[in-house]
Formats: sequence, C-alpha cells, structure tokens
Amino acid sequence: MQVTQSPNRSFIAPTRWALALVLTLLLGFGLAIRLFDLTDLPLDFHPTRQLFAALKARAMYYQTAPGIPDWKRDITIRQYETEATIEPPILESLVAATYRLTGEHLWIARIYSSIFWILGGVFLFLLARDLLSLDGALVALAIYLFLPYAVIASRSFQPDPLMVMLILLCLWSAVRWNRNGGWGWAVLAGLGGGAAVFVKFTAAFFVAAALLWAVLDRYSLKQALTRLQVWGMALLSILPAAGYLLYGLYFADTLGSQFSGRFFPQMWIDPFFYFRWEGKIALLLGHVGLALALLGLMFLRSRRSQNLLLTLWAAYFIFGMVFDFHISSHDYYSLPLIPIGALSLAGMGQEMLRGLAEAVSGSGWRRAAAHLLLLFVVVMTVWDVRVQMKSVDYRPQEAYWASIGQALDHSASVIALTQDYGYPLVYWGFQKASIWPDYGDLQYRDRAGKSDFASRFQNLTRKKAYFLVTDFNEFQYQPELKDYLYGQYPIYLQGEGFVVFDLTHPLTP
Amino acid sequence: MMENKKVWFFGNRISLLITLAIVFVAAIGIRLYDLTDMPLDFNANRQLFSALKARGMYYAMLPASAADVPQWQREMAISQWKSMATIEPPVTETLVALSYRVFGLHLWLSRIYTSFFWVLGGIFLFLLAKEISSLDGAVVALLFYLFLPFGIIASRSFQPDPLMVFLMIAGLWAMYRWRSSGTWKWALTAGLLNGAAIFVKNVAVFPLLGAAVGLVLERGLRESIKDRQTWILAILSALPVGLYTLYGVLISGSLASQFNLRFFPDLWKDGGFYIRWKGQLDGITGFGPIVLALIGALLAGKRKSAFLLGLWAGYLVFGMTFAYHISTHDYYSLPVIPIVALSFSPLVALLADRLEQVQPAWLVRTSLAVFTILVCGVYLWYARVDLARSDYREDPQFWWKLGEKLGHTNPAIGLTQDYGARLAYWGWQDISSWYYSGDLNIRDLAGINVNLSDRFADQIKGKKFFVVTQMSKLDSQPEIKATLYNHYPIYDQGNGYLIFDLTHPK
Repeated sequence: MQVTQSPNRSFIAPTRWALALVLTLLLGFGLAIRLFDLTDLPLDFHPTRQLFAALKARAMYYQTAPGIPDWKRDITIRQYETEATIEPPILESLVAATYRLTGEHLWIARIYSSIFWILGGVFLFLLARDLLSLDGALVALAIYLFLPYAVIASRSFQPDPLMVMLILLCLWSAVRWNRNGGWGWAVLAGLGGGAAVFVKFTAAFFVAAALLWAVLDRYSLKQALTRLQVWGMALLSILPAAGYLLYGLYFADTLGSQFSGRFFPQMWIDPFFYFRWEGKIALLLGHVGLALALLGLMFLRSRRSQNLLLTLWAAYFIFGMVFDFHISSHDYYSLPLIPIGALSLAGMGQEMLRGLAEAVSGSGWRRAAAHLLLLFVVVMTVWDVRVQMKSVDYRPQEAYWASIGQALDHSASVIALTQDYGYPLVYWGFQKASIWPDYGDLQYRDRAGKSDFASRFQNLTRKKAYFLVTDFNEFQYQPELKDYLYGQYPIYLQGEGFVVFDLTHPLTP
Repeated sequence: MMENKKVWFFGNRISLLITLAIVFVAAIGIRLYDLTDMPLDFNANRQLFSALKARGMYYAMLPASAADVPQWQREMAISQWKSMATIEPPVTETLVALSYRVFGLHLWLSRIYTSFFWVLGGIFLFLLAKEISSLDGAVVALLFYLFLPFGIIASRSFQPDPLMVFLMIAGLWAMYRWRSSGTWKWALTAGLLNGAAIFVKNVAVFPLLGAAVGLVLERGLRESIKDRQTWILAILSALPVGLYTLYGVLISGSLASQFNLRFFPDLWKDGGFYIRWKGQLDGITGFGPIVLALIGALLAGKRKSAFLLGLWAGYLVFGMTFAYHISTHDYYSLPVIPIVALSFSPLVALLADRLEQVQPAWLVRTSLAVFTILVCGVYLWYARVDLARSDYREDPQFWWKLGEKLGHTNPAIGLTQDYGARLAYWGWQDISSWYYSGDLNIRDLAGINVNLSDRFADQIKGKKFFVVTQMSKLDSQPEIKATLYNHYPIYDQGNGYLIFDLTHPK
C-alpha cells in the first residue's frame, strides 16, 4: 500500500531552530514530568515488581556497605537469596553502585529509568525520521513521551524502560542497516538487540522481528544466509542472553523455575482472554487509540515502513499469545507496544498535520490557534499526570510498615496476607514473611490445577508462629480463611491497619 | 478543504443505507438492554427527581377511584410532585405521565422516550455532519455519537437532556441549512427548533447561540443585522423560554430560586477547576477525541470552522457560567458529545480522502470495515457489561421496608441516598435531607457561612427521626455524628440503615 504525497515543510518545526526548540521542549518536559514527585515511594505502579527490584538493589548494597546493623543486613540478604531470578539484575546493580556514592535513596532508580526512557525517545525520533515526515516523527515522539501511562510506567524500578530503550536502539540501527548496509549499523543493531534481550528475555520477540524485517526486506533468505553482516547481527543479538540462560540453567541453576506457569494455550480459545488483553492495551493507548494506531498503518509513507510496523505488531501479537496469562493480567507486559503504537499513530498524525497546515495556511490567527492547540495538548497532558502524581502521597507507608515490623520484632516466624506479596513489609518493615496467596493467585493456581483450603493452610502455616493480616480487602475475598482464623486462633496483637493471629495457641487444641 | 463528496468510502448508496439501518437498530437495542432495571445507574438523584414528578402528574391525572394505590399514597405522590423545585418545564415528565395512563406506571417507559430522542438526534447529526464534512465524516460522527459508552448510559436517563440534545442538533442543522440557502423556510425551522431546545432546557442556548454567532460573524455582522431572517430566527429561538421564564419568575414565582448557587466566578481563578472540568470531559469522551475534534474544527474551512468554533465557544461560555456544575456533574457536558462528533467529522473526511489514494483499495476498505466494527463492538460490549454489572431491582424493597419502619408520614430528616429521593420514591417517606459535604462546599464557595450546630438544631425541629443510610457521609461530618450518638437514642438499626429518635433526647 502506498500513499502518494507531495514533499512539504514541517508545520510544527519549519526551521532548524524551531526543531531544536521543539525537541528540547519535548525531551525536557518528558524528563521533568518523570522526575516530579521524585521522592515518593514507588507504590504508584506495580509495587510488587518495583520493590522486588528495590530489595535486590538494597541487598547488593548491604553486602559491602558499612554501618548497617547485622540483623538488617541478614534479613535483606536472606530475602535476596530467596528471590527468583528472572533476568540479570542490571538496573539493580547500577542503582546499588549509585547507593555506594549517595547512600540508599530509593528514588535513584526513578532517575535511571526515566533517563533510559528519554534516551529511547531520541532513538525513536531518529527511527521515525526514517519512516515518517518530520511532523510525523515529532508526533511519534510526543506520544511516546507523554502518553500518561508511559509517564508513570517509565519511571518505575524495573528493567522494562531500559529494555524498551535498547529495543529502539536495535530497531533504529536495523532500519539504518537495511537502508545503508555496513558493519557499523549491523554491529549496533546486533549489540542493541543483544543487550535488550539480555536485559529482559521478552525483548527477543521485538528484536527478532526487527532484525528479520531488516534482513528479509534487503535480501532473499538464500542471499541473507551468505552475508556475514547478517550472521554478525544474529550472533550479537543472541549471544549475551543465550550465555546468561545457559549459565542460569546448567551452572548456577537460578533459572530452572522461570519457564513454568507462563504459557496457557487453553486461554486462546477463551474469548474473554482477548477482551482482557484489549482492556490492558486500552490502559496504555485507549480503545480508540488502539484502533487508530492500527488504522494509522495505512497512512505510512511507504510499503517499507508499513511492513516494518506490521512485523512489529505481529511480534507483539505472538508475544501476547505466548505469555497469554501475563499479557492479559499485567499491563506493563505491553510496554513495548507504546513506541510501536506511537509510530503507527504518527502515520495518521502526519496526514492530519498536513491537512491542518493546508487549511490554516491563509489565516494567521488560525495557524496560531493550531500551534497553540498542539502546545495545549502537551501541557494539559503533562499537567494531568502531575495532578495524578500529586494526588497520592505514599510516604506515610514507610512508617506504617516499619511499625508492623517492629511489633513483630523482625524475627518472628510469620505468614502474612498482605499487600504486594509482602515486599513493602520486608522492605520498610524488615520483616520477612511467607505469603498467603491472594485471590488472584488462588485463581491462577486453580488454573494450573492446584487447590484445597485445608491442606493449603496446613502446608503454608507449618512452623509459623503468627498469621499477619494487613490486606483486609483480600481478607474479605477469602471468607474461608477469615472464618478459620477468627474461629481457631486468638488475636496476638492488632493495631491501625493490621491484625496478628497467634498460631501457636489454637483456641481448640 | 475538499468539496463534499456524494459517495461514501464503501461505494454505493445501498451499502450506506444498510449500514445506517444496522447502526440505528444497534443504537436503540443497546439502550433498551436491561430496560426494566431501576434508574440508579446514572445520576440517580436527577432521574428520581423526574420520576417523582411524572408519578405525581400521573396520579393527579387519575381520578382517586382509578388509582392503583391507597389514597394516602396518591396524595403523597401528588404532594411530592408539587413540592419539587421547578428547574425547566417538565416536558419529558409529562410525556411519561401520559404514557403511564396508557400502559400503567412503569418507570422504564422514560428510558424508551429518552433513548429514542437521542437516536433521533443521530439522524440530524448525520445530516449536519454530511453538510460540514462528507458522507464518511458523517458516518463516523454518527457512530461516535451513538456508541460512545458514556452517551449510551446517559441518553437512557430520565432527564430532559436527551430531548434537549436532540432538539439542539436539529436546530443546529436547520441553522446551517439556513445559512447555506438563505430562505425563510430554513430561518423559521431553525428558529422553532432552537426555541424548542432552549425551552426544554435553557442551557441549550449556549451552544446554539455560539454557533449562530459564528455563522453571523462569518457572513459579516452588518449584513446579518440587516437581514430580517436573522431577527426572526433569534426571536423564535428566545420566545418560548423567555415567556416561560417571565411567567415562572414574575407570575407563578416557581423559578425564583433557580438562579441561586449556580454562578461561581471565583472558580475561574482556581486551576483545579479546569482540571476537574477536563476530568469530566475525560470521563465523557476522553481527551483524545476532544483534541481531534478541535483539529477538525480548525481545518474544516471558513464557514464550517466558524460554525464549529462557535459551538465550542458556546460550550466554553456555558462551562464558565456554570463553573461549579460543569466541573462536578458529568451530565452537564452531555451536549459536548454531538459537538465533538460534528467537529471531528471534517478530519475524518480529510483522512478518508487520503485513504482513497492508498492501494489496494479492497484491502483498505476491508481493514477499515473490520476496525470500525471492532471499535463499535468493543464500545457496545463495554456498555452492555456496564449495564449488566449492576442490578438495582432489589433496591425498592429495601426502601419500602425502611419507609414502613419510619411510618411513611412521620416527619424525618436524614442522610440518605440522592437527597432522600430513593426513600421518597420507593419508601413513600418524605424526608428533609441533611447537608452532604458537597453542599457545604458549594455554600462555602458562595460565601455562605453555615453554623452546623445551629443549623442542625433548626433543621430537626418538628422532626421525629434522623435516618442514616449513608454511613460514610455521616463519618465525614464528625460533629453531627457525635451530636446524634451523644444526644439521641437509636430507634432502630439494621443492614444499611440507622434511625435516631429525635423525640426522646438522652
């Protein structure tokens, strides 16, 4: 499919100076909004995932940090050792290294993630310049930077912002290699792709798609197999993650359990899976945004651009089908869709801006109104996110969890029905606890065919002295547990927002 | 801007007619889904206000012997109707009351009326969007107007707004036709339709006046003023509501209090006001469609832009005038749905025009059709889920029982849902509503200082009970909560209610 188009001047940035100004404003605003409310606790977006990374970073730091009480160091390191290894803790290492210079400040992670996302924006802009008009590229960048979901998600302490940045580096380099050839671009594409997959395995879908497109758009399969650059790209993109995987599976044995409980093909025939998935995408782009993004593919300048974007959409689809449970329950799994969606939407955006430029060309006030409108959109979006961030203050949670940890004396043998898999409790309360599964987990386990309250209770509370409840919503969802605890065990202590049952002295022995 | 096309993206006229037929049937279908559920799904207070009026009118029309309820209920229904504040002429309520006479008292009859009004509005919206964009733009505008989830839920509600929106769109269409043709026929039609819209709910004047000003300025102020048609149109637009207001304010006095607590210019200086207003719009159409609509309005072409930007200016002035309500009551922004739909139709026309250059055409058309069906399907599905999720059919039973406990006729005051409207409608128990915290805020904004304890003492005079069914609202007023618990015994309590006996203070 091809749109015939006449070359025209940029409406948003008609001169180089204007372009420099617009880019500075976009990237500057993009960074500023991410650093707003910097020191609030990372509970605004998937706290479990963020605190998982925070605990790892702290444990790395405590291993060598001076002046940490031994009991704190022990709890932290023991917790770290029990944590699953999902991907190499690159961001965590970086944050821990920074702690050594600055002291432990959880918000440092936010700075790193935000900068990664902004750098990703630079690569996205460069990539979009190859696929779209200048206006289209600026629209893509603005969407990528200011989509409200993206702002919140991209400041979170998890590997995804870094992964997205590296995917974009790989994508841009692959597009450049596809156009110009040369070892430089091939190596950059391979390294970017390899680093992305190393940071998080799920990047493999997007990296593979980008490289496959770049190769097969340039060569036939037969030709491609004879090109050294192709082999170079492939090796560079595979080697780091493959090495880590082999080491984790066969030497360190840290990755053995990471491939179970992720793939549920029976969900493919459940229509609600697709609705849930669409619902997650709608959190990122909106229902209309998703539809417009797909429609936007038709407005792309060239067949080449369209094929690339279609390949990336296909990669996202395959990724979602493979990680079907997670894609339909964890919105951040769809984070790589943001740049893909931004590029797709920008196809339509550039046509819109061209129409707008034509329509307002004869009228100064309408041209000014159009520019003001575009500025208004960015400012309002940023302001809205700012309000969202400012409306919640999680800082008091630190003292709350610390008080529970203190009440339990940090060392007791505890099982807990608590928020975010007990990570806030262990992070701020220095209180390790086994976790009683929440309702969602129970459903997840049921799906995998594991169930039965009595045996579950017996298994999970074995050798535990206390049952802590802080998540009372969950408690309501599990009436069997609630009745059992209140019926069988005395209350050991309770306070504002928590209750502890004494499992060592049952009411009816 | 390109000239309007006579064909649409998918080719022939038959395919267009079939599409429109399917669209209208689906639009009515989704609105009549879950028809008999209670009208508590959307601004229950406003809906029950109309329901109480319609019921009172119905019993007033019936001779006592023909009423299907005891005499005391009939009298109470009529008294409830007569004691309700008059905001606008009860047009929908009268229609519903008349229908009760034919079909019996079924609250859901109102849903059929308002749904049809909204869908009828869709016909005029389509015709108008076709004028200002193209057939493609008109179809997309219509889909947006009919299938926006908020619009689906809001347009089934028992309030004058769906009828107002329908008449407003018809008036806008006629005005635009008048500007194009310059004939007396269209000037009179536009005047009558505008007059009807403003009569049904006077806030329709803002967008209508805005669009009219846009057209007048685009034509030239002097030329427009010299044209007698302009004056007739303006007079016909203003006359019905003018007469009604004069009658209500000067003769019957029923409208005298309706202009209090509505105008808060202080809010204009408060940044939070604009954020809350935007928040309301986010919930109604989303911010994205509004941006697209404003782009569409700018690129539409001279007259069309003037018309559309006039509409937006009217809405803006409306919002600034009713600053408190626009930022707290979502249904105040209902007219923004057709405004957005109309405004982005020129943009759709532009994009459809660009898409026509894309090859292969069959693939583009197929993709477009699939996307459109999917988007509409998702919207319909979400609206259906929204409607199916809540079932309010059990609520009347609760309120009836509570009314029985209170004795139906004993004087009471309280904190109950929707200012006591549920208790009044299903419980047959009138109560004075104690302030919600929002009521105190609005008085604070208006500079009215309410001394809570004095006010409380004043309000409970002559009352037998203080009823609470909204515990959280009582919690948010600790002073009143403490007064009640410390000074009055509990008369009765149960699941979801608490009654204090005011006649035997401790």
